[in-house]
Amino acid sequence: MATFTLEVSVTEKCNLACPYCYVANIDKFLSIEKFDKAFIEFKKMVHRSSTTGLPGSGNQGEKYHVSYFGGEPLLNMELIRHATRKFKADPACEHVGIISNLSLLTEEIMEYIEKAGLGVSWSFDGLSSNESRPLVKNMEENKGYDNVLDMYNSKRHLLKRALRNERFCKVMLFPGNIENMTENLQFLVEMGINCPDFMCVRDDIWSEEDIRVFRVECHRMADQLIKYFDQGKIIVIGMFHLAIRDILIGMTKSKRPWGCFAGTHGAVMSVEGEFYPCARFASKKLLPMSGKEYNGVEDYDFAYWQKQLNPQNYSKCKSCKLYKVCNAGCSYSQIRNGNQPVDSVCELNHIFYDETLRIAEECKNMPAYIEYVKKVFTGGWDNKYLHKNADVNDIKESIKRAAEQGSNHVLHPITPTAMPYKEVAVYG
Amino acid sequence: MGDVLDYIEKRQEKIGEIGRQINEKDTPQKKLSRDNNLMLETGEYSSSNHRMYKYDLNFKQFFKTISEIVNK
Repeated sequence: MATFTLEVSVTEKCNLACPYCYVANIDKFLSIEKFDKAFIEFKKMVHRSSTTGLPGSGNQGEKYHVSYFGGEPLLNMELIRHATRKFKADPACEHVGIISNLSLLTEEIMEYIEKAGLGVSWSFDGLSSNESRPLVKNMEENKGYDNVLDMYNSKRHLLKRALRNERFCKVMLFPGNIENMTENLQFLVEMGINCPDFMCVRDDIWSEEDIRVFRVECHRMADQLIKYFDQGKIIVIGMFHLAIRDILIGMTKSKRPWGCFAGTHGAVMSVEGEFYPCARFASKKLLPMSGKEYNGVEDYDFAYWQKQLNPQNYSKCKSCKLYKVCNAGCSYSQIRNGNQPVDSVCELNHIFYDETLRIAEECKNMPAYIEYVKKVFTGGWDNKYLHKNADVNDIKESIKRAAEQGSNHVLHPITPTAMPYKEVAVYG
Repeated sequence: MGDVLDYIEKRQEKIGEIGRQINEKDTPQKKLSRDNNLMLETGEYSSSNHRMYKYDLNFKQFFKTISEIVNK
């Protein structure tokens, strides 16, 4: 089962102006006073979601994990320091991390991150960063730099410390940066990042021409990945990795009953100290999860939204070849689209699932690929995705059955021990 | 009890209503790339299952391959 996810939007201000970002870049900061009030409400919300949600569709119990988000969260370290003390003192809090572009890292911030034991998720577009992540002009924090890659170059020693042993970054793909995906992959691998989490923006921003380009470029990037496996290098590219895991779980057990955490077992705390399903809803102040009661009835019904946002329930998907494995796209975009997945995103999903299967076929005799697949199963590669109680032998048996029966395989209901992967946050 | 049920019906913001609100509030004023590409015309839902390309997606073969690998 999933753990409740809280994203704390500590500011809506950012030093970068990424064209695909949906957060208004304005000078709003979450204050300590608002956070303290909201924290009390948050604890009630976690309890409410675990007691009123549909069985198997959300979190169970009081556990949760937290990510600081923005804007650029490093612009509000005062709040982060205060909030972290509260979260770390709460036994129900399993993890606290920061989702950041890391361009504003300083020695002082880095020391704090290490001392507080905060996780770090780096949003970094690699080679295309200067184009896809332009600096906000006339901002004090950006003074002295021409572009974001210069900022990173001057802070390489701090970046190394922030990433610790992880060689991971989140790379958003949008129509403006897909033409050099392969070169970007090579750039990141040369930097030592062997887990670049390339992920498409799952919004209706893709024209037919963009999709044509994406198809060509995705194929080219898959070819490069095959070369890496052939050379004995294990490189984990986010969208292919996600696809292989979703195929394995979807075809052997059942796909998960949520697309992402938004509104089903997660929320964002906005800069106003209010709660919404995610930052996109917060940016429009839509669908508040206030926790207020009217005549004894909560105003946000987790069970209702868990049913509405369950990718197993979308009527459009039921005749799709990917129905058993695909978790659709962004809930916000889909609600906007009559609560159905958006066609352009479906096309992208087909493209990278198709490439994932091709990679498996072409690499099946390569030792590096064999090692990679085995580690996906045993959790040796990324044990953060493997449920502690996962029964690997049971999963192997399920795969054997699926291989015998293909897509006619009958799905089995998810049980806590059969669910091999923890939830993977889906952004974009 | 009737009051409570009426209240739930009234209070629960149904999916269609939220979709309508998003479309009303989601104005294309932020970024040029979004302006050019992001916004559907209000109410223009994309719900076909037409695909631009043919995809093989042979899961049976995939699982045979994976099964061989896992049992190596």
